[in-house]
Amino acid sequence: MAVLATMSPEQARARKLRRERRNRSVRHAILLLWIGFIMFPIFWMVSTSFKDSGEWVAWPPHWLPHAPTLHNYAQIFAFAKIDTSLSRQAAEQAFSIWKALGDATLVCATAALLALLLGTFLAYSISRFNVGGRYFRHTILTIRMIPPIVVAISILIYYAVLIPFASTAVFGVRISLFDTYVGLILIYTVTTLPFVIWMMLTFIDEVPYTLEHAARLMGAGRITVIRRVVLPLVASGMVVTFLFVFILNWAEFLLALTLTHPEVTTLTVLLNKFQSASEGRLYGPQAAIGTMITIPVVILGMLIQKHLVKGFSFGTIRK
Amino acid sequence: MKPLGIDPRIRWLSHPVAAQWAIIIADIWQWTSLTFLIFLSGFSALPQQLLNAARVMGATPWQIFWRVQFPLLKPAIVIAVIIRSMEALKMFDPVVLLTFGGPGTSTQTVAYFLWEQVWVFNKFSFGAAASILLLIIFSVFIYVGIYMLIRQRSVVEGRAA
Repeated sequence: MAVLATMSPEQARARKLRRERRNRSVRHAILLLWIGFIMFPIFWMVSTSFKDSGEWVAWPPHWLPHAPTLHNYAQIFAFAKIDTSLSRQAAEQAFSIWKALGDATLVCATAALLALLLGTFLAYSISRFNVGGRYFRHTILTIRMIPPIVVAISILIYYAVLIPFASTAVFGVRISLFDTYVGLILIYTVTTLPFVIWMMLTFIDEVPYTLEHAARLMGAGRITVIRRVVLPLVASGMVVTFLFVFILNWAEFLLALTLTHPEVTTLTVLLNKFQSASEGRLYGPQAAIGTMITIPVVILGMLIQKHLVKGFSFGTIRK
Repeated sequence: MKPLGIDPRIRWLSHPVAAQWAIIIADIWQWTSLTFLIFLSGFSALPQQLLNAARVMGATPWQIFWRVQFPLLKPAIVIAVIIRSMEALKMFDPVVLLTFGGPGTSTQTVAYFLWEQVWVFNKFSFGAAASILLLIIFSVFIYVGIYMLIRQRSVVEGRAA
Protein backbone atom coordinates (compact mmCIF):
# COMPACT_ATOMS: atom_id res chain seq x y z
CA MET A 1 0.00 0.00 0.00
CA ALA A 2 2.78 2.37 0.92
CA VAL A 3 4.51 1.63 -2.37
CA LEU A 4 1.32 2.20 -4.27
CA ALA A 5 0.79 5.55 -2.61
CA THR A 6 4.15 6.89 -3.79
CA MET A 7 3.54 5.78 -7.37
CA SER A 8 1.71 7.81 -9.95
CA PRO A 9 -1.56 6.29 -11.20
CA GLU A 10 0.03 5.44 -14.57
CA GLN A 11 2.86 3.58 -12.89
CA ALA A 12 0.43 1.67 -10.71
CA ARG A 13 -1.67 0.72 -13.67
CA ALA A 14 1.35 -0.43 -15.64
CA ARG A 15 2.50 -2.47 -12.69
CA LYS A 16 -0.87 -4.09 -12.30
CA LEU A 17 -1.02 -4.83 -16.00
CA ARG A 18 2.44 -6.39 -15.90
CA ARG A 19 1.51 -8.58 -12.97
CA GLU A 20 -1.68 -9.67 -14.64
CA ARG A 21 0.21 -10.55 -17.80
CA ARG A 22 2.73 -12.55 -15.79
CA ASN A 23 -0.03 -14.39 -13.94
CA ARG A 24 -1.72 -15.17 -17.20
CA SER A 25 1.42 -16.61 -18.75
CA VAL A 26 2.06 -18.76 -15.67
CA ARG A 27 -1.51 -20.01 -15.82
CA HIS A 28 -1.22 -20.81 -19.50
CA ALA A 29 2.08 -22.59 -18.98
CA ILE A 30 0.52 -24.84 -16.33
CA LEU A 31 -2.48 -25.55 -18.52
CA LEU A 32 -0.29 -26.33 -21.51
CA LEU A 33 1.72 -28.77 -19.41
CA TRP A 34 -1.48 -30.45 -18.32
CA ILE A 35 -2.77 -30.65 -21.87
CA GLY A 36 0.49 -32.32 -22.83
CA PHE A 37 0.09 -34.82 -20.02
CA ILE A 38 -3.50 -35.59 -21.01
CA MET A 39 -3.04 -35.67 -24.76
CA PHE A 40 0.26 -37.55 -24.91
CA PRO A 41 -1.10 -41.10 -24.39
CA ILE A 42 -3.81 -40.47 -26.96
CA PHE A 43 -1.27 -39.13 -29.43
CA TRP A 44 0.96 -42.11 -28.73
CA MET A 45 -1.89 -44.56 -29.28
CA VAL A 46 -2.82 -43.03 -32.64
CA SER A 47 0.82 -42.86 -33.63
CA THR A 48 1.42 -46.50 -32.68
CA SER A 49 -1.60 -47.63 -34.64
CA PHE A 50 0.17 -46.57 -37.82
CA LYS A 51 3.47 -48.25 -36.98
CA ASP A 52 4.69 -51.55 -38.29
CA SER A 53 5.65 -54.26 -35.83
CA GLY A 54 9.35 -53.36 -35.56
CA GLU A 55 8.63 -49.79 -34.50
CA TRP A 56 6.24 -50.49 -31.60
CA VAL A 57 8.95 -50.72 -28.96
CA ALA A 58 11.81 -49.07 -30.84
CA TRP A 59 14.45 -47.27 -28.76
CA PRO A 60 14.89 -44.34 -28.98
CA PRO A 61 11.13 -44.04 -29.52
CA HIS A 62 9.86 -42.99 -32.92
CA TRP A 63 7.57 -40.07 -32.25
CA LEU A 64 5.95 -40.48 -35.61
CA PRO A 65 5.99 -43.74 -37.55
CA HIS A 66 8.94 -43.72 -39.93
CA ALA A 67 7.12 -45.93 -42.37
CA PRO A 68 3.40 -45.30 -41.83
CA THR A 69 1.29 -48.32 -42.58
CA LEU A 70 -2.39 -49.20 -42.53
CA HIS A 71 -1.52 -52.81 -41.81
CA ASN A 72 -2.95 -52.75 -38.28
CA TYR A 73 -6.26 -51.36 -39.45
CA ALA A 74 -6.42 -53.86 -42.30
CA GLN A 75 -5.87 -56.58 -39.74
CA ILE A 76 -8.64 -55.58 -37.37
CA PHE A 77 -11.12 -54.71 -40.09
CA ALA A 78 -10.57 -57.90 -42.06
CA PHE A 79 -13.91 -59.39 -43.08
CA ALA A 80 -13.17 -62.97 -43.94
CA LYS A 81 -10.57 -65.28 -42.54
CA ILE A 82 -7.27 -63.45 -42.36
CA ASP A 83 -5.09 -64.33 -45.34
CA THR A 84 -1.37 -64.92 -45.05
CA SER A 85 -0.32 -61.37 -45.91
CA LEU A 86 -2.30 -60.00 -42.98
CA SER A 87 -1.90 -62.73 -40.43
CA ARG A 88 1.86 -62.37 -40.13
CA GLN A 89 1.60 -60.78 -36.71
CA ALA A 90 -1.25 -62.79 -35.35
CA ALA A 91 -0.69 -66.17 -36.86
CA GLU A 92 -2.21 -68.05 -33.94
CA GLN A 93 -5.47 -66.16 -33.80
CA ALA A 94 -7.59 -64.44 -36.36
CA PHE A 95 -9.39 -61.47 -34.90
CA SER A 96 -11.82 -59.16 -36.50
CA ILE A 97 -13.42 -56.16 -34.89
CA TRP A 98 -16.79 -56.46 -36.62
CA LYS A 99 -18.45 -58.99 -34.32
CA ALA A 100 -17.15 -57.27 -31.19
CA LEU A 101 -18.32 -53.92 -32.52
CA GLY A 102 -21.81 -55.27 -33.13
CA ASP A 103 -21.94 -57.06 -29.78
CA ALA A 104 -20.71 -54.05 -27.85
CA THR A 105 -23.14 -51.68 -29.56
CA LEU A 106 -26.08 -54.01 -29.00
CA VAL A 107 -25.29 -54.79 -25.37
CA CYS A 108 -24.34 -51.24 -24.35
CA ALA A 109 -27.25 -49.55 -26.10
CA THR A 110 -29.86 -52.00 -24.81
CA ALA A 111 -28.50 -51.93 -21.29
CA ALA A 112 -28.30 -48.13 -21.26
CA LEU A 113 -31.85 -47.84 -22.61
CA LEU A 114 -33.19 -50.29 -20.03
CA ALA A 115 -31.36 -48.56 -17.19
CA LEU A 116 -32.61 -45.18 -18.40
CA LEU A 117 -36.22 -46.37 -18.52
CA LEU A 118 -36.14 -47.90 -15.06
CA GLY A 119 -33.97 -45.16 -13.60
CA THR A 120 -36.08 -42.27 -14.81
CA PHE A 121 -39.25 -43.59 -13.20
CA LEU A 122 -37.37 -44.57 -10.06
CA ALA A 123 -35.85 -41.12 -9.85
CA TYR A 124 -39.27 -39.58 -10.35
CA SER A 125 -40.78 -41.59 -7.54
CA ILE A 126 -37.82 -40.87 -5.25
CA SER A 127 -38.01 -37.18 -6.04
CA ARG A 128 -41.79 -36.82 -5.65
CA PHE A 129 -42.90 -39.47 -3.19
CA ASN A 130 -39.70 -40.03 -1.17
CA VAL A 131 -39.79 -43.70 -2.03
CA GLY A 132 -37.50 -45.71 0.19
CA GLY A 133 -37.25 -43.13 2.88
CA ARG A 134 -35.35 -39.89 3.26
CA TYR A 135 -31.89 -41.23 2.55
CA PHE A 136 -32.71 -43.61 -0.28
CA ARG A 137 -31.19 -41.31 -2.86
CA HIS A 138 -27.83 -41.76 -1.14
CA THR A 139 -28.04 -45.39 -0.14
CA ILE A 140 -28.89 -46.31 -3.74
CA LEU A 141 -25.25 -45.55 -4.51
CA THR A 142 -24.21 -48.57 -2.47
CA ILE A 143 -24.67 -50.78 -5.52
CA ARG A 144 -22.20 -48.65 -7.41
CA MET A 145 -19.67 -48.73 -4.60
CA ILE A 146 -19.45 -52.50 -4.22
CA PRO A 147 -16.43 -53.67 -6.20
CA PRO A 148 -17.69 -55.59 -9.23
CA ILE A 149 -15.18 -58.38 -8.58
CA VAL A 150 -17.02 -59.21 -5.36
CA VAL A 151 -20.28 -59.82 -7.17
CA ALA A 152 -18.68 -61.16 -10.34
CA ILE A 153 -17.94 -64.56 -8.82
CA SER A 154 -21.41 -65.04 -7.40
CA ILE A 155 -23.01 -63.74 -10.59
CA LEU A 156 -20.92 -66.16 -12.60
CA ILE A 157 -22.04 -69.10 -10.46
CA TYR A 158 -25.60 -67.80 -10.62
CA TYR A 159 -25.55 -67.49 -14.41
CA ALA A 160 -23.66 -70.64 -15.22
CA VAL A 161 -24.90 -73.07 -12.57
CA LEU A 162 -27.96 -71.98 -10.60
CA ILE A 163 -30.17 -70.70 -13.39
CA PRO A 164 -29.52 -73.70 -15.70
CA PHE A 165 -30.16 -76.02 -12.73
CA ALA A 166 -33.39 -74.32 -11.75
CA SER A 167 -34.69 -74.04 -15.30
CA THR A 168 -33.99 -77.72 -15.94
CA ALA A 169 -35.79 -78.67 -12.74
CA VAL A 170 -38.82 -76.46 -13.36
CA PHE A 171 -39.28 -76.18 -17.13
CA GLY A 172 -37.18 -79.08 -18.32
CA VAL A 173 -35.19 -76.73 -20.55
CA ARG A 174 -31.63 -75.74 -19.81
CA ILE A 175 -31.36 -71.96 -19.86
CA SER A 176 -27.96 -70.48 -19.16
CA LEU A 177 -27.27 -66.78 -18.94
CA PHE A 178 -23.51 -67.23 -19.09
CA ASP A 179 -22.00 -65.84 -22.28
CA THR A 180 -25.32 -64.50 -23.58
CA TYR A 181 -26.47 -61.03 -24.55
CA VAL A 182 -29.28 -61.17 -22.01
CA GLY A 183 -26.92 -61.96 -19.16
CA LEU A 184 -24.53 -59.14 -19.96
CA ILE A 185 -27.35 -56.65 -20.56
CA LEU A 186 -28.94 -57.53 -17.21
CA ILE A 187 -25.75 -57.07 -15.23
CA TYR A 188 -24.91 -53.80 -17.02
CA THR A 189 -28.39 -52.49 -16.31
CA VAL A 190 -28.03 -53.27 -12.62
CA THR A 191 -24.56 -51.76 -12.27
CA THR A 192 -25.40 -48.51 -14.04
CA LEU A 193 -28.84 -47.99 -12.53
CA PRO A 194 -27.54 -46.03 -9.50
CA PHE A 195 -25.77 -43.55 -11.77
CA VAL A 196 -28.89 -43.12 -13.88
CA ILE A 197 -30.97 -42.48 -10.77
CA TRP A 198 -28.45 -39.96 -9.44
CA MET A 199 -28.18 -38.04 -12.65
CA MET A 200 -31.91 -38.09 -13.34
CA LEU A 201 -32.63 -36.96 -9.78
CA THR A 202 -30.74 -33.72 -10.38
CA PHE A 203 -32.82 -33.10 -13.50
CA ILE A 204 -36.20 -34.13 -12.10
CA ASP A 205 -35.70 -32.19 -8.86
CA GLU A 206 -35.56 -29.05 -10.98
CA VAL A 207 -38.96 -29.56 -12.61
CA PRO A 208 -41.22 -27.21 -10.65
CA TYR A 209 -43.91 -29.06 -8.82
CA THR A 210 -46.39 -26.27 -9.61
CA LEU A 211 -46.36 -27.29 -13.27
CA GLU A 212 -47.41 -30.80 -12.38
CA HIS A 213 -49.96 -29.45 -9.97
CA ALA A 214 -51.47 -27.27 -12.68
CA ALA A 215 -51.70 -30.23 -15.02
CA ARG A 216 -53.34 -32.29 -12.29
CA LEU A 217 -55.90 -29.55 -11.66
CA MET A 218 -56.75 -29.51 -15.35
CA GLY A 219 -57.71 -33.15 -15.03
CA ALA A 220 -54.63 -35.02 -16.22
CA GLY A 221 -53.85 -38.34 -14.61
CA ARG A 222 -50.50 -39.13 -13.04
CA ILE A 223 -49.32 -41.03 -16.12
CA THR A 224 -50.33 -38.21 -18.44
CA VAL A 225 -48.53 -35.70 -16.23
CA ILE A 226 -45.33 -37.70 -16.40
CA ARG A 227 -45.60 -38.24 -20.13
CA ARG A 228 -46.71 -34.77 -21.20
CA VAL A 229 -45.15 -32.50 -18.58
CA VAL A 230 -42.19 -34.09 -16.82
CA LEU A 231 -40.58 -36.16 -19.56
CA PRO A 232 -40.41 -33.35 -22.16
CA LEU A 233 -38.77 -31.10 -19.57
CA VAL A 234 -36.08 -33.63 -18.67
CA ALA A 235 -35.61 -34.94 -22.22
CA SER A 236 -32.20 -33.35 -22.68
CA GLY A 237 -31.15 -34.72 -19.31
CA MET A 238 -32.27 -38.17 -20.41
CA VAL A 239 -30.15 -37.94 -23.54
CA VAL A 240 -27.10 -36.94 -21.50
CA THR A 241 -27.70 -39.74 -19.02
CA PHE A 242 -28.17 -42.26 -21.79
CA LEU A 243 -24.94 -41.29 -23.49
CA PHE A 244 -23.01 -41.22 -20.22
CA VAL A 245 -24.22 -44.68 -19.26
CA PHE A 246 -23.52 -45.90 -22.78
CA ILE A 247 -19.93 -44.73 -22.44
CA LEU A 248 -19.65 -46.38 -19.01
CA ASN A 249 -20.80 -49.69 -20.47
CA TRP A 250 -18.64 -49.19 -23.53
CA ALA A 251 -15.53 -48.94 -21.34
CA GLU A 252 -16.52 -51.68 -18.88
CA PHE A 253 -13.96 -54.46 -18.73
CA LEU A 254 -14.12 -56.70 -15.69
CA LEU A 255 -17.68 -57.99 -15.96
CA ALA A 256 -17.44 -58.51 -19.69
CA LEU A 257 -14.21 -60.41 -19.23
CA THR A 258 -15.70 -62.55 -16.51
CA LEU A 259 -19.17 -63.32 -17.77
CA THR A 260 -18.48 -63.98 -21.42
CA HIS A 261 -16.25 -66.38 -23.23
CA PRO A 262 -15.96 -67.14 -26.10
CA GLU A 263 -19.24 -66.22 -27.79
CA VAL A 264 -20.15 -62.66 -26.80
CA THR A 265 -17.18 -60.30 -27.05
CA THR A 266 -17.15 -56.60 -26.24
CA LEU A 267 -14.49 -54.30 -27.61
CA THR A 268 -12.49 -54.00 -24.39
CA VAL A 269 -12.29 -57.76 -24.06
CA LEU A 270 -11.25 -58.07 -27.69
CA LEU A 271 -8.52 -55.51 -27.12
CA ASN A 272 -7.08 -57.61 -24.33
CA LYS A 273 -7.10 -60.70 -26.53
CA PHE A 274 -4.67 -59.23 -29.03
CA GLN A 275 -1.61 -61.09 -27.87
CA SER A 276 0.37 -63.66 -29.73
CA ALA A 277 2.40 -66.40 -28.14
CA SER A 278 5.51 -65.54 -30.11
CA GLU A 279 5.46 -61.75 -30.00
CA GLY A 280 3.65 -60.94 -26.76
CA ARG A 281 1.28 -58.03 -26.88
CA LEU A 282 0.49 -56.84 -30.40
CA TYR A 283 0.72 -53.15 -29.69
CA GLY A 284 -0.07 -52.08 -33.24
CA PRO A 285 -3.48 -53.75 -33.59
CA GLN A 286 -4.22 -52.96 -29.94
CA ALA A 287 -3.57 -49.29 -30.61
CA ALA A 288 -5.71 -49.46 -33.73
CA ILE A 289 -8.61 -50.97 -31.75
CA GLY A 290 -8.06 -48.45 -28.98
CA THR A 291 -8.36 -45.65 -31.51
CA MET A 292 -11.54 -47.20 -32.89
CA ILE A 293 -13.01 -47.55 -29.38
CA THR A 294 -12.12 -43.97 -28.53
CA ILE A 295 -13.58 -42.26 -31.59
CA PRO A 296 -17.28 -42.87 -30.80
CA VAL A 297 -16.70 -41.91 -27.17
CA VAL A 298 -15.09 -38.62 -28.19
CA ILE A 299 -17.94 -37.86 -30.59
CA LEU A 300 -20.56 -38.67 -27.95
CA GLY A 301 -18.64 -36.62 -25.41
CA MET A 302 -18.67 -33.61 -27.73
CA LEU A 303 -22.40 -34.03 -28.22
CA ILE A 304 -23.17 -33.98 -24.50
CA GLN A 305 -20.42 -31.53 -23.54
CA LYS A 306 -22.82 -28.68 -22.86
CA HIS A 307 -24.98 -30.63 -20.45
CA LEU A 308 -22.27 -32.71 -18.88
CA VAL A 309 -21.41 -30.24 -16.12
CA LYS A 310 -24.94 -30.25 -14.80
CA GLY A 311 -25.23 -34.01 -14.93
CA PHE A 312 -22.00 -34.35 -13.01
CA SER A 313 -22.96 -32.01 -10.21
CA PHE A 314 -24.26 -35.12 -8.37
CA GLY A 315 -26.71 -32.98 -6.53
CA THR A 316 -24.22 -30.45 -5.21
CA ILE A 317 -25.87 -27.61 -7.12
CA ARG A 318 -28.64 -26.03 -5.14
CA LYS A 319 -31.15 -23.66 -6.52
CA MET B 1 19.03 -36.74 -17.27
CA LYS B 2 22.15 -38.69 -18.24
CA PRO B 3 24.66 -36.25 -16.66
CA LEU B 4 22.72 -36.41 -13.41
CA GLY B 5 23.46 -40.08 -13.20
CA ILE B 6 19.86 -41.11 -13.74
CA ASP B 7 19.03 -43.58 -16.43
CA PRO B 8 16.01 -42.13 -18.25
CA ARG B 9 14.96 -45.59 -19.30
CA ILE B 10 12.93 -46.34 -16.21
CA ARG B 11 11.69 -49.92 -16.29
CA TRP B 12 8.12 -48.77 -15.87
CA LEU B 13 6.47 -52.16 -15.78
CA SER B 14 9.17 -54.50 -14.56
CA HIS B 15 10.44 -52.61 -11.52
CA PRO B 16 8.28 -53.15 -8.42
CA VAL B 17 8.09 -49.50 -7.40
CA ALA B 18 8.03 -48.04 -10.89
CA ALA B 19 5.15 -50.37 -11.81
CA GLN B 20 3.12 -49.04 -8.89
CA TRP B 21 3.77 -45.50 -10.04
CA ALA B 22 2.93 -46.42 -13.63
CA ILE B 23 -0.51 -47.55 -12.49
CA ILE B 24 -0.95 -44.52 -10.24
CA ILE B 25 -0.10 -42.17 -13.10
CA ALA B 26 -2.44 -44.03 -15.45
CA ASP B 27 -5.23 -43.69 -12.91
CA ILE B 28 -4.54 -39.99 -12.41
CA TRP B 29 -4.56 -39.53 -16.16
CA GLN B 30 -7.86 -41.34 -16.48
CA TRP B 31 -9.86 -39.81 -13.66
CA THR B 32 -8.69 -36.25 -13.11
CA SER B 33 -11.16 -35.12 -15.73
CA LEU B 34 -14.08 -36.49 -13.73
CA THR B 35 -13.07 -34.69 -10.55
CA PHE B 36 -12.47 -31.61 -12.68
CA LEU B 37 -16.06 -31.80 -13.91
CA ILE B 38 -17.40 -32.22 -10.39
CA PHE B 39 -15.44 -29.19 -9.18
CA LEU B 40 -16.38 -27.18 -12.24
CA SER B 41 -20.06 -27.71 -11.57
CA GLY B 42 -19.41 -26.86 -7.94
CA PHE B 43 -17.63 -23.61 -8.80
CA SER B 44 -20.25 -22.56 -11.30
CA ALA B 45 -22.94 -22.91 -8.63
CA LEU B 46 -21.23 -20.69 -6.05
CA PRO B 47 -23.35 -17.68 -5.13
CA GLN B 48 -21.88 -14.68 -6.95
CA GLN B 49 -23.00 -12.16 -4.30
CA LEU B 50 -20.69 -13.66 -1.70
CA LEU B 51 -17.69 -13.34 -4.01
CA ASN B 52 -18.62 -9.77 -4.86
CA ALA B 53 -19.05 -8.96 -1.19
CA ALA B 54 -15.62 -10.37 -0.40
CA ARG B 55 -14.09 -8.42 -3.27
CA VAL B 56 -15.70 -5.18 -2.14
CA MET B 57 -14.30 -5.71 1.33
CA GLY B 58 -10.84 -5.83 -0.22
CA ALA B 59 -10.02 -9.52 -0.13
CA THR B 60 -7.20 -10.69 -2.34
CA PRO B 61 -7.96 -13.46 -4.88
CA TRP B 62 -5.97 -15.83 -2.67
CA GLN B 63 -8.13 -14.99 0.35
CA ILE B 64 -11.29 -15.25 -1.72
CA PHE B 65 -10.32 -18.74 -2.77
CA TRP B 66 -9.33 -20.09 0.64
CA ARG B 67 -11.82 -18.27 2.84
CA VAL B 68 -14.92 -18.11 0.63
CA GLN B 69 -14.86 -20.48 -2.32
CA PHE B 70 -13.07 -23.39 -0.70
CA PRO B 71 -15.44 -23.78 2.28
CA LEU B 72 -18.43 -23.43 -0.01
CA LEU B 73 -17.02 -26.09 -2.27
CA LYS B 74 -16.87 -28.64 0.53
CA PRO B 75 -19.87 -30.72 -0.63
CA ALA B 76 -18.31 -31.13 -4.07
CA ILE B 77 -15.00 -32.11 -2.49
CA VAL B 78 -16.65 -34.70 -0.27
CA ILE B 79 -18.49 -36.17 -3.26
CA ALA B 80 -15.35 -36.27 -5.37
CA VAL B 81 -13.33 -37.91 -2.60
CA ILE B 82 -16.00 -40.53 -1.93
CA ILE B 83 -16.57 -41.39 -5.58
CA ARG B 84 -12.90 -41.51 -6.42
CA SER B 85 -11.78 -43.52 -3.40
CA MET B 86 -14.51 -46.06 -4.01
CA GLU B 87 -13.45 -46.40 -7.63
CA ALA B 88 -9.78 -46.58 -6.72
CA LEU B 89 -10.36 -49.32 -4.16
CA LYS B 90 -11.84 -51.56 -6.82
CA MET B 91 -9.16 -50.79 -9.41
CA PHE B 92 -8.81 -53.62 -11.86
CA ASP B 93 -8.50 -52.67 -15.52
CA PRO B 94 -5.10 -50.92 -15.48
CA VAL B 95 -3.62 -53.78 -13.49
CA VAL B 96 -4.72 -56.41 -15.98
CA LEU B 97 -3.77 -54.33 -18.97
CA LEU B 98 -0.40 -53.16 -17.69
CA THR B 99 1.20 -55.55 -15.23
CA PHE B 100 -0.94 -58.60 -14.35
CA GLY B 101 -0.29 -57.82 -10.70
CA GLY B 102 3.44 -58.13 -11.16
CA PRO B 103 6.33 -57.87 -10.85
CA GLY B 104 5.93 -60.23 -7.92
CA THR B 105 2.87 -58.99 -6.10
CA SER B 106 3.75 -55.29 -6.09
CA THR B 107 0.73 -54.15 -8.08
CA GLN B 108 -1.74 -56.76 -6.90
CA THR B 109 -4.91 -54.86 -6.08
CA VAL B 110 -7.70 -56.49 -4.15
CA ALA B 111 -9.81 -56.94 -7.24
CA TYR B 112 -6.97 -58.41 -9.23
CA PHE B 113 -5.98 -60.76 -6.41
CA LEU B 114 -9.49 -62.17 -6.29
CA TRP B 115 -9.76 -62.45 -10.06
CA GLU B 116 -6.44 -64.27 -10.23
CA GLN B 117 -7.40 -66.72 -7.48
CA VAL B 118 -10.58 -67.68 -9.30
CA TRP B 119 -9.79 -67.47 -12.99
CA VAL B 120 -6.11 -68.34 -13.02
CA PHE B 121 -5.85 -70.81 -10.13
CA ASN B 122 -9.48 -72.03 -10.37
CA LYS B 123 -10.05 -71.68 -6.63
CA PHE B 124 -13.76 -70.95 -6.88
CA SER B 125 -14.71 -71.65 -3.29
CA PHE B 126 -11.75 -69.64 -2.02
CA GLY B 127 -12.85 -66.80 -4.27
CA ALA B 128 -16.42 -66.99 -3.03
CA ALA B 129 -15.32 -66.98 0.60
CA ALA B 130 -12.90 -64.12 0.00
CA SER B 131 -15.54 -62.09 -1.79
CA ILE B 132 -17.91 -62.43 1.18
CA LEU B 133 -15.14 -61.29 3.49
CA LEU B 134 -14.36 -58.40 1.15
CA LEU B 135 -18.01 -57.47 0.97
CA ILE B 136 -18.07 -57.15 4.76
CA ILE B 137 -14.91 -55.04 4.77
CA PHE B 138 -16.17 -52.86 1.96
CA SER B 139 -19.55 -52.44 3.69
CA VAL B 140 -17.72 -50.57 6.43
CA PHE B 141 -16.12 -48.23 3.89
CA ILE B 142 -19.41 -47.80 2.07
CA TYR B 143 -21.24 -47.12 5.31
CA VAL B 144 -18.74 -44.40 6.20
CA GLY B 145 -18.98 -42.94 2.70
CA ILE B 146 -22.76 -42.86 2.65
CA TYR B 147 -22.83 -41.45 6.17
CA MET B 148 -20.52 -38.61 5.16
CA LEU B 149 -22.65 -37.99 2.09
CA ILE B 150 -25.87 -37.77 4.06
CA ARG B 151 -24.34 -35.58 6.74
CA GLN B 152 -22.90 -33.26 4.15
CA ARG B 153 -26.23 -33.08 2.39
CA SER B 154 -28.18 -32.28 5.55
CA VAL B 155 -25.68 -29.49 6.29
CA VAL B 156 -26.27 -28.06 2.81
CA GLU B 157 -30.01 -28.35 3.14
CA GLY B 158 -29.91 -26.74 6.54
CA ARG B 159 -28.00 -23.82 5.07
CA ALA B 160 -30.42 -23.48 2.18
CA ALA B 161 -33.47 -23.53 4.45
